[in-house]
Amino acid sequence: MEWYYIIAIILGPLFVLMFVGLPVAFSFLAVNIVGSFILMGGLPGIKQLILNSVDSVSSFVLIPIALFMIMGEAMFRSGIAVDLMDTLDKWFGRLRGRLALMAVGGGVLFSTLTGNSMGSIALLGSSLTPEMEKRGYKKPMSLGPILGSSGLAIMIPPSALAVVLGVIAELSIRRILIGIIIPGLLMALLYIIYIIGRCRLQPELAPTFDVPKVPLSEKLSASVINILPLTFVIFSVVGVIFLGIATPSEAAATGAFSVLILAALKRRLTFKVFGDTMFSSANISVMVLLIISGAITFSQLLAFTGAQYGMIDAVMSIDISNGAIVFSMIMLVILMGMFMGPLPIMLITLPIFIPIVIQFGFDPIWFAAMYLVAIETGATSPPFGAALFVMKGVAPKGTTMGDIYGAALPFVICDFIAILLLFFIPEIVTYPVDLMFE
Amino acid sequence: MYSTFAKLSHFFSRLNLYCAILGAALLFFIATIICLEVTGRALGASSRLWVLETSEYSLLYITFLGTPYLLEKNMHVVIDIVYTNFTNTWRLIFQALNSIIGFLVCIILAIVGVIVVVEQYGLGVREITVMRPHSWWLTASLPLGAGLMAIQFLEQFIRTLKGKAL
Repeated sequence: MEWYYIIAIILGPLFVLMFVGLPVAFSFLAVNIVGSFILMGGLPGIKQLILNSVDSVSSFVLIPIALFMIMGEAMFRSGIAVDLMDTLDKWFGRLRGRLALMAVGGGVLFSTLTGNSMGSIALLGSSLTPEMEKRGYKKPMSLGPILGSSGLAIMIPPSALAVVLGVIAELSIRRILIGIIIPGLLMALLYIIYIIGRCRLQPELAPTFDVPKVPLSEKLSASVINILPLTFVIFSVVGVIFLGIATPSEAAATGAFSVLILAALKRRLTFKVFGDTMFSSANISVMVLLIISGAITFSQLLAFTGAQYGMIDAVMSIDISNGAIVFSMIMLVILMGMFMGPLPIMLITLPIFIPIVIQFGFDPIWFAAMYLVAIETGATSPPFGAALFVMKGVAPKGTTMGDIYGAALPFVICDFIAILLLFFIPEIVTYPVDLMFE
Repeated sequence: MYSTFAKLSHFFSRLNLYCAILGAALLFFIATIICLEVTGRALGASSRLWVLETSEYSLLYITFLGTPYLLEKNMHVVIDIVYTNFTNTWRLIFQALNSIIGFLVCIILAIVGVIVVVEQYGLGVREITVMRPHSWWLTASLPLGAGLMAIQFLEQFIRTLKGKAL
């Protein structure tokens, strides 16, 4: 049977099941069972599927997904994240667009502490937007920066999605985590340039307002109390990887413990906070791990049928440049992100894209960095990017989806510029990785 | 009849919750042993190979113990862009269909999973690792979770027949 028939027969039912509301994990499992039964010899095929499912979840490289969740949950539940925002507030003074810039600063800092962009939106949205509205900020300058900067959580380590990408694409997680740091900071820089530029052109979007002057001593003491200890958390994740003390999987554990220790030192780690953190982290991890299990066995099925190789051959014989094909892949990811969540997109596309990228001779870490920016772009792109709906949930009453779409668009364009820069200057990703590992 | 259904539903709801709590405890256990391993190694102690393996096996149980609770609470990832635009009637129809598909998927996994576990037990199969645990200890997590999920899908189906949206 031709590869495209096999792809259609396998992917068709998968999409139908997903779109009629069957949870993604069970859609994969349903297709896997039927596919294994038909293509892998009946009952023995399903037995093999069960063994593969067990193998796919019991993998040490998946550990960070669960442990990064502990970091994020503990940060938000213990109030450490709120302290961080309060301290930033003291530093920004009377700068025009200060609250919008604070959102970007907060987004970057949260990114270094959690891997959860939706949590960042929820916290920044609920804490900053009411203040922004009160100060006369218009929607593009109140909602947009929060939407944009919250997505940085997947671009700056620790990033759970980067780990998922590494697992599915079978790439070095350590290299991906190092490779995405500069692109993440580049995106933050583009957001800042946009905010400052737009505030100059249209000052009415972000009126200046009087803020009580905070003495330098208070700023410094707040920083020492609320920001300095976070370097311990950052070191516990990124530092230990850089120094070779721990692998990325192990660094997730040291990071999780460092946040718990910090919360305990601040006397915020009550039994309830601890219990809720663990329970919630386990739930989110289970949700992700079950989908990964379904998707890994799905890609094994795809490989078993030979359809994957047929598709790679077909793509490689297309008469356009390899770079154009890779760029089209990235655009397809953004397009899919407008309608689907990050995980299903990664699980469907990566097993097909990564072998093609490697066959073309491109650096897969470079592709992975662009891919993650595209995932983030898709999540904030109208009409159905997941982040837009989280923003709607925490935005002040009366905010329409139209307001959110309008606010998100300039940040989507910033992301697009970042993708172009990464595409044409791969060294942004490859240089730090080479520097680190050679 | 209704009271039996309610009692069974309550029983499995508690069971799902306890399994999820056990999963959360295992997650903390993993974080602790890995952290101790890194600290110990940094201080010059030799590496303990059982830490890696135990973490992997725990992750397996966290996943399959926790997933029935998520299903009960409707927390699994769903692509709802089409589904949310259905009328209530169509939504209930698809909810019923999804419950049946989910039930079939899980019951197949549970039954075949038990067959695999029994075979592994009978043959005395062990993992080819340092700890060399019996393979059925690990495989058993899947039919256990799948069985509980099948019951959950069945409960969803019955609720749908009563006209209750999830």
